[in-house]
Amino acid sequence: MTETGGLFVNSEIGRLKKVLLHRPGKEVENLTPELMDRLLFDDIPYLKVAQDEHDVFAKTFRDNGVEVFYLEELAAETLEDDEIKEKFINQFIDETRVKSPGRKSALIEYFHSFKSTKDLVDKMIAGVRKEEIGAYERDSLGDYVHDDYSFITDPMPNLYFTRDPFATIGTGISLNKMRTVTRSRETIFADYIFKYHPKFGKMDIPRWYDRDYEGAIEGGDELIISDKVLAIGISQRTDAKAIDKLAKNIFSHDQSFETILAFDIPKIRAFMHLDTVFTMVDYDKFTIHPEIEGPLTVYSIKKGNNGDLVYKEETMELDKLLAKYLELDHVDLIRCGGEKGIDASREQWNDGSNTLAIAPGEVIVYSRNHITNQLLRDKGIKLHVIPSSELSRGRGGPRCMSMPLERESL
Amino acid sequence: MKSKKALFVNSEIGKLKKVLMHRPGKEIENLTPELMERLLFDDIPFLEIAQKEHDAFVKMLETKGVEVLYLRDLMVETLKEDQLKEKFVDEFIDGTKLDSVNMKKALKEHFMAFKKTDEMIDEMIQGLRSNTIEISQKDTLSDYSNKNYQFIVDPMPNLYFTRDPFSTIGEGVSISHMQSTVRRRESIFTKYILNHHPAYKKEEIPIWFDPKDKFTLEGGDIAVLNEKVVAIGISDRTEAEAIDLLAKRLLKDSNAFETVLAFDIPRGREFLHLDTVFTMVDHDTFIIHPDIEGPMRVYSIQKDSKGKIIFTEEQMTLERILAKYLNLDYIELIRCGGHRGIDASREQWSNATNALAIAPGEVIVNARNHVTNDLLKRKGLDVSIISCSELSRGHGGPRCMALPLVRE
Repeated sequence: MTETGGLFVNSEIGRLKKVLLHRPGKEVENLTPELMDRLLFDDIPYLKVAQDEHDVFAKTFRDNGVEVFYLEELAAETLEDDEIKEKFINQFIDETRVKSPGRKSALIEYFHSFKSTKDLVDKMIAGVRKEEIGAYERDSLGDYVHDDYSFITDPMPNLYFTRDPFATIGTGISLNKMRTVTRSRETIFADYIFKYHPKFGKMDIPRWYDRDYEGAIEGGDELIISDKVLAIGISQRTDAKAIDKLAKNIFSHDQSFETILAFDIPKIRAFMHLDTVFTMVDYDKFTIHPEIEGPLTVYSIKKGNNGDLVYKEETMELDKLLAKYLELDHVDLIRCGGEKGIDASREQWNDGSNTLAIAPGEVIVYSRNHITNQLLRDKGIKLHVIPSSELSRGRGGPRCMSMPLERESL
Repeated sequence: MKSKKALFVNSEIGKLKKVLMHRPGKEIENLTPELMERLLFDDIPFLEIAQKEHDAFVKMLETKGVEVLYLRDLMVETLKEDQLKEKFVDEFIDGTKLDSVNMKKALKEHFMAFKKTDEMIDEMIQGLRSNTIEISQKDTLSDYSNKNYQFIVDPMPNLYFTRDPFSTIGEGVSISHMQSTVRRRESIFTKYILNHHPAYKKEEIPIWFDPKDKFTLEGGDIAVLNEKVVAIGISDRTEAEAIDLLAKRLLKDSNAFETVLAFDIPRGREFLHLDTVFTMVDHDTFIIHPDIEGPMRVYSIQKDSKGKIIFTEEQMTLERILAKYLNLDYIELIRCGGHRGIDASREQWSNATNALAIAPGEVIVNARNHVTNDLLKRKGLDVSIISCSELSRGHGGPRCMALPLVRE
């Protein structure tokens, strides 16, 4: 990675050098109307167009000097070692609903039948349909009861939102504990990549959080607004206690961060993570959904003596509060849709406030949010506009679909 | 089978000559996450792309020799006289849920002030946001309340599904009684066109069903299988009692139709209308969602020699029922997604069974349903494909978006 080795992200906006993506695959075609809700989709994307759109997204990075890594490729490289592969297959199956010995051994056999580790990873992500594994001995009630369910292992259609399973913070990662059962298996990939990948595994990357911790936290809630300040959402997907744990770990290591601002946002589907209502686009500019400004409470967390944490409920208005912690005179909050109302609701829903900065004042956005996009242009932000007809159906924008591995320092 | 009639449809598959459509407009951009469910959307389309997709659909129809009429243009041509326009505005305002007398008055002034009728129509369809009209005089509680709601007049985002507000059956029409309040206003447009548009008003058009009929019935449930048989779905949107009324008139007063087949389909958001699970694509070929084959019951409604309406619960398989009533030896049912399972569920949801036949064996379908589309091609159908990444968010396919006025 960097000359010094390892990962490095100490801002939301420093020039992006390396990013991790996942190109949506067959898992998206394993969504059905009955499954959508549980698998956190509102509609079913058309895979071919979703892939075309995602390729435009990846090209936008490359055209701007960002090296693109794909999660599925790193995972496949990690599993080239047979011992690791066997361990991985066992752990993956342990974390599915497959419990009966007959079903389990049929599935293990099936996974081992793949010659290429890339095909194996793709299949694990896509989900295994019942007809894909051969006949097996039914030796539990579960085998009978689940017989009319279409899948042996569920598809993982949310994986193209690489923002959430882990977050690069400073020189380490927060390997997250996902809120939903549906997404919890996603973090196994990052776990193995950072332990065993021929390159990443050797970097000895510290973890500020781990997937077996108790409280849920997801990357969409974790923002690095400067080398001193993190902003983390308390949201539908992230628990306050997880933020405590992360704060303690990060403050006790040799990192530059001094303050965590915990943003207590409304816990509803439309605002699932902090980055669906609030993102940083320049040194002094943020996009924000006007509807959270009222109900939002912010708490600051600092390092106290003896490893304790010091809390304070902040009472300043958000722009003043951000200016204070960023040591600026003024901060500009750009309201998605312009003001509270129909356009704001619509464009926030379609990820109008989920921009991804690839450099200060330079962001990737979805084409569909034309009012917010124009506002950003008016504020002097440079936009890279990508199509979004199919990708947006999973409720995530450019920030959700990417995890920075390296950014230049500001 | 040519007819000079302004309206003539006696099959699902006869060469399509004239079709009614609506190009989606600003009403789409008035959808919000809070409103979606009530306005019957699962997601919010991106208008710019939705319009491009719709334009491509229209162009494809025109290339195939179909004349496309836009609902909005017909309305402009209908409302040439001020008196009629005023009457229409009154009726439209009555169709909104407004209680405030003062607001209704202000709204009427607002609509009547438009010099251009097309702009007025656009405004009615797209809805009025709550900050657009202020009333100074307040006499009742309803003049004051409603403050927190975003609209004075709700948008009509479903209007691009022109299939539903009315149906052409033979030389007559069924004007729908829409199931949901949010779509009821759509039928007002239809009624004015049929009663007052210069091309239609002189015609003596038989009315098989009218919104005044107490029960609900929507066009997506009606399929004219041939000159003698009409299939109608009993669904979330269409009640059995409505089919009784329609069937009685159709069997007694049309000189052609002899049978109404009522398809009792499972209820559920994904099975809105009959045409979301079953459409005809050739003389002897249908697309069907395999999930409905088991649970579906079919009843036939006919007239006996004395003119009495008789009902029969059909016991045969669907193929046999269709073969019998269409007077064919064999019927081919093409299952969307190939067979029951993941692909079938996914593609039915994305309107794989909602094909629009533009001639026997020639259909327009959505790009996203590739498993079903490949199957149709393999069965020898001539398949034209439209893209629908945004249009499909309203949960309707090519058949939902086009209402045949004339077929050969």
